[in-house]
Amino acid sequence: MWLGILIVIGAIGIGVAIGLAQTLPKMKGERAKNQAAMASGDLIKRDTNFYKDKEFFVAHIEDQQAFYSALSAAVAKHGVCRASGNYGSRVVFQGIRGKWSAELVRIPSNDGTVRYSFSLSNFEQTSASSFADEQMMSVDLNYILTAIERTFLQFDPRTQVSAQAIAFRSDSVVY
Amino acid sequence: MKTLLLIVIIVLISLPFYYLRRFINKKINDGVDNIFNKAEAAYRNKKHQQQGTQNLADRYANVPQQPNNQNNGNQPPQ
Repeated sequence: MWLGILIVIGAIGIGVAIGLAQTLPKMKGERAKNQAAMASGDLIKRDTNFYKDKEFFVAHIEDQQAFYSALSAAVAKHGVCRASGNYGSRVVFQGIRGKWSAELVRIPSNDGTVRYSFSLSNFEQTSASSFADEQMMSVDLNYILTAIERTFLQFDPRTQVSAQAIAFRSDSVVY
Repeated sequence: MKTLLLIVIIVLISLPFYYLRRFINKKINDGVDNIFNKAEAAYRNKKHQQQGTQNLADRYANVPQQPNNQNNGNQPPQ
C-alpha cells in the first residue's frame, strides 16, 4: 500500500516538475521582454485593471488621413493583434495570442475636435489558467493603448483623456 | 425500436439536468455580476470622476520618448 502511495506522489511530483520546467522559462522570457518594452517606451506602467476602463480621447487633428495611417502603423508595429475596420469610424483589434477583442470607436463631434473611445469588448479564457490569459491580454492591450496614445500625442500634444469603468459580465461555467 | 426508445428516454432524463445546469450557471454569473463587477465598476467610476479629464501628456512625463518621424504639420504647445 505504501509503495502505491509513493508511486502516486512520485508521479504527481514529476508532473508538477515538468509543468514548472515548461512554464517558468516562458514566464521569465515574457517578463524580460516586457521590461525591455517598458525601457524603450513601447509599454507604460498602468493600473492593474486598466483594461476594465473605457478611455475617451479628445484631440485637435488637422491632417486626419495622416493620423489614421500613423495609428495603423503604430498598432501594427508590435504584431499583437489583427486590426479590421476603418480608423475614420470603428476599428476592431483581435488578439493573436489570446481570444480577446478591443475596439477604437470614433465619436461624432461638431466642435472641430476628433473624439475616440477605446475599450476591451470581449475576453475569453483559452488556457487552463485564467490569470495567465488575463496577464497576456493585459500586456497586449497595453501595447495597443500605448501605441494609440503616442500617436495622439504626436498629432496633438494637448490631447485630453478621461476614463469610464465598464461593468463586465462574466460567463464562467461553474457547474 | 428498443434502441430508439432508449435514446428517447436518455434524452428526456438528460433535459431537466441540462436546463438545471444552465439555470444555476446563469444565477451564479448574474450574482457575481451584480455583487462584484458592478460594485467594482462603481468604485472605479467614482475614482475616475474625481480625476476628471486629464492631459494625456502627463501620463508620458516620466516615460522614455520615442523618435517621432511623422510630419503631421501640427505645432507643439507653447
